[in-house]
Amino acid sequence: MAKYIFVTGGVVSSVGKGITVASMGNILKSRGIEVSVQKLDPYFNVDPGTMSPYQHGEVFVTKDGAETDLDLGNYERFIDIELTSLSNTTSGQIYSSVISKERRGDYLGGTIQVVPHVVCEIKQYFHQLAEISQADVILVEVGGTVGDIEGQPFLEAIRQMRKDVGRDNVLYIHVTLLPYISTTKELKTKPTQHSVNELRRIGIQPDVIICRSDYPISDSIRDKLSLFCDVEREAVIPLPNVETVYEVPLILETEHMGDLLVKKLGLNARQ
Amino acid sequence: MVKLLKDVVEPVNIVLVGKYVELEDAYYSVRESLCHAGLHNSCCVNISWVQSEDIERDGPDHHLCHAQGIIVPGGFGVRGIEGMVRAANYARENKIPYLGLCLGMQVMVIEFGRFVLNDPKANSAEFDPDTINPVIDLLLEQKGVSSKGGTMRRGNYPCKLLPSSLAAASYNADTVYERHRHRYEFNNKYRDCFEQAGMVYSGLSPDGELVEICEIKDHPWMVGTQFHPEFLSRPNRPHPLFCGFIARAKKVLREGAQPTLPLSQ
Repeated sequence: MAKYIFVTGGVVSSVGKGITVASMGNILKSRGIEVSVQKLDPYFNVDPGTMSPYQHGEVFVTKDGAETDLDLGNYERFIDIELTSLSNTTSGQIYSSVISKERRGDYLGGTIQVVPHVVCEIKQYFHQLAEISQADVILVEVGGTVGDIEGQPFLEAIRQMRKDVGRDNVLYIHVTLLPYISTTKELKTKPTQHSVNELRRIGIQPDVIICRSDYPISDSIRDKLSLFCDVEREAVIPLPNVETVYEVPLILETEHMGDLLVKKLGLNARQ
Repeated sequence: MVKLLKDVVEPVNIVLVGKYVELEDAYYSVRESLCHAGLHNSCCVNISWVQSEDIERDGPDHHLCHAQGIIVPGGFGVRGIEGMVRAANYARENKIPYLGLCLGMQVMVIEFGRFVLNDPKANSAEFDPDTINPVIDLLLEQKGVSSKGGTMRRGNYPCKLLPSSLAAASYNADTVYERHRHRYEFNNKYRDCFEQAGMVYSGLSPDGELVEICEIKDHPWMVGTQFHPEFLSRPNRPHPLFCGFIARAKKVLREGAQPTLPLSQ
């Protein structure tokens, strides 16, 4: 059965979550683990095909003709896989599917609600990708940041997954930004503490925190985040800016990210 | 690979002429594909992002004089089209390597119609629905489709390559599968007269009905593709067409560098 890694973002968006997810896929694949990836986009467009490139960037086209988020391009390039329409799910798709089921009478007169109906629909998409791809690990990136109104059904769905498929088969990773205050010349952890608190309020305790920053991250900051966010120290992974995005998998490897994922999910990895 | 990426120094100046250049993410895969192809050719691709409307305003010389290669990526709508046509014209007349992707190929066809076949009315039915010479026309399957979402010709389709063409030399294959996303195509009514004037259809759909790749006979490297090759480039496996484009653009550096020597002495 497939195991799941759910990746959420905190503090701000555009922090490099897509590259981080793609890099994790790359390091897992290099250990002989089959991976597939899914991107959840909370907006209500069915796909980004009709959106202005100014709003959304490039529209990436998969082999089966799906018009998808540009992060799928990063997944394909970093992991060297070919994805399909199953790998990009939007609120627009979820809701239109729920509503057409309701019109067909599939819910037998029930009142349609976000919990359980919309959330169940989202979980169906996870299971469907797992079944069709037959991958060992499904990486799921939740678009936007924790606390967005549109993102809440997705967060609820990933929270329920831990109960559905078992504690040992699910890992939550939170990608945040440590802002730099130039007057005091220090990186601040408070926004990360807040976004982790927000995640916990929803019922998700992150297992790993990946910290993006413009400057190197000291050991004392790692200790502090470990203490305040209740995450093991080796699971606080610093990821400062790099010259080229293709360096990110190498940085994650030097921080032992690959071994950490293998250990936490109990994967059969090739050395 | 990362070490290579940081170590390469030889620059190649590529100008990308598009309408969304203010946001580089709009051409994310194109940018990455150029980077992969540069790496493969041991050079560092410097991309200048030029708004095609600026070419309409200032003329092509000002923006393209340093270009060793010109790339016109995909897009929709009439804004900026004339600037792209002038960029294609500049590339053809000055023999600068040119790669047109989707809209970039259609622009190349319009330019050829206007300036080689001397037909100023040549246009795409997308930009002027009433044009009398629609060298680019709506796909037959698209006639009558009014819904905008998810209705284009999309995804993988095969393309048969013409032996001994630039495209076939780049791919070193006879049939390739490439990803598409378009509503318009080369109008087959104009195929014969374009061919006589020096356009080569180096890639066709297997039934021969749809022009997938075209190139210009008397030009070092001018290739337009109806599909989007940028989606298949990988860091360790750069796309053949991007590789061929950069390899040719690199040579423009050597040849182009000579006239800057003090020739008078």
